[in-house]
Amino acid sequence: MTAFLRFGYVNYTPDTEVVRFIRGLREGKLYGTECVGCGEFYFPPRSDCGKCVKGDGMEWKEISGDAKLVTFSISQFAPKGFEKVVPYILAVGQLKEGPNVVAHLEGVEKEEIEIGMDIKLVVKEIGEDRYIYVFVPK
Amino acid sequence: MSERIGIIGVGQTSFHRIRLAKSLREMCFDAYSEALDDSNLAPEDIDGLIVCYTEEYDKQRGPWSPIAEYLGLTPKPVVGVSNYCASSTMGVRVGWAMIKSGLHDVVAVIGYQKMTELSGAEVQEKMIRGGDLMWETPFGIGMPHVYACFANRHMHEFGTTEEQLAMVRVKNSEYGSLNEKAAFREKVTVEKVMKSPIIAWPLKLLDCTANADGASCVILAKEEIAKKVSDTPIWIKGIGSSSETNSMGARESFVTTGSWRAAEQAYKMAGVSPKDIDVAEVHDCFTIAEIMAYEDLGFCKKGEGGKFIEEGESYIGGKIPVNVDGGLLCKGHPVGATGGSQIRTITLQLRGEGYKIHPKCEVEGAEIGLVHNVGGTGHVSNVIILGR
Repeated sequence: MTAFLRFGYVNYTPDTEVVRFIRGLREGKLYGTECVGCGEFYFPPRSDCGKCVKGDGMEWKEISGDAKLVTFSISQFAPKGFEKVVPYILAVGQLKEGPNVVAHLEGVEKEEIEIGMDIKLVVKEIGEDRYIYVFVPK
Repeated sequence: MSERIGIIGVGQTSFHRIRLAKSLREMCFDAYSEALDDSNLAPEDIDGLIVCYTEEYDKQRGPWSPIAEYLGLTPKPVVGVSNYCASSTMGVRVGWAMIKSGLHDVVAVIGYQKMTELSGAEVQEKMIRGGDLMWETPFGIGMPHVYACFANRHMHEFGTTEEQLAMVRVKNSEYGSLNEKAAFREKVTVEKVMKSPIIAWPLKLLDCTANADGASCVILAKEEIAKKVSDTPIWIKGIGSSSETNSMGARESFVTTGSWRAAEQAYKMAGVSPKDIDVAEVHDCFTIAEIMAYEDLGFCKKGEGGKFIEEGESYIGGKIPVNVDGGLLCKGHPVGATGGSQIRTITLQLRGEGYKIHPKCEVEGAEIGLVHNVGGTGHVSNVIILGR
């Protein structure tokens, strides 16, 4: 099993240059990448900068995980492969560092969800040496 | 370059959820045959074929090839176009360019999808793979989830209500119930929509379109031919196209599919503004999508889409009749065929043949119409403005 297959409930991407991301997950840490040339910051990480497209290289930077809830939906139905996870809250959160991230929001009741609320992106182990990141209330 | 491109033939099969004893090449034949008959052309007059689809539902590889053969169009040039749910309007864009360049005189654009061979969950599993496969699909984010995210943000920013979402379905069902080619003919109330099962909150079952089987065909011709064969050619006045980020995380806004960019291009090219539009077909894959479309197309200001439907402005007799054939919500959504079906409806309306859908669906005296077709969650948007 290639290492990146350890990310997600269902994973379709075995090979990537940002496989080192998994090393962070194992330590409970989340890393993004910053373009050495133009300073653009990416989370999830990218190995190439789509802004300056220069190929100057990227630097790994740990993120705080601090975020605000931008929007969400509560799924009562699951595409094939996600039956065991349903129902889940899908959230878009904006990280303190800038980028928006899609992840499940856990540990809240429907009534407690409020757009704009403070949330935190954290690493979650979902199986043996298998990981995902989730938002939790802060 | 001033020569116009005309639509001279349209055809569409019924859209249906029942699995018929019909292969996809046979479905395409039905749509093509109807459009060819409508165009007054002979088969030998067609000098190019564009076949539009999303290939992941098919067992056939390169479906454009068997379809070209079955329609009797080999050895003419044939192009396959695949742009999610906006495939057939992208096919029209490609056909427009092929004729405008002088390479072709008459091009047939066929769109199809046959989705009933798969279960709903299987179709969704294929659809979610159109999103960010590496970082977002692993969370099980599908079409309803993303549109539900749009809806929640829209409700948060503008006070749009679940009842206003439901009103879109109510309107579309009023017209869809009359459309013999629609898959869902039941006329529904706000209460019925509100009580239908939740799919991805706040969207309920009746806030969502459903996959279907069907095919559509649009025949395009250069001006000289269009004028010769048709008394009522419908001209492509403006054609706009834009794309949005694949991943949801990279979006700048969650209250738009981004199709306002395609709309701006189309309005500019056509030299018209939203107030000139007499009838529109918009991509109502979910009720919230139609509300955002009113805004993105400039029918009302951003944030006022809920009010627009509540005040009945998108009914016949309102400011701009929208989806008065039932829309995707009631016709059903055979992905690759949808844009062609929208173009058929507007073409009929502008010819004064809206009665062919149903006399009560006709927008009398319509001169300028608009088609808005979105692929994915805004990954691709096409806006086409048509006129008499």
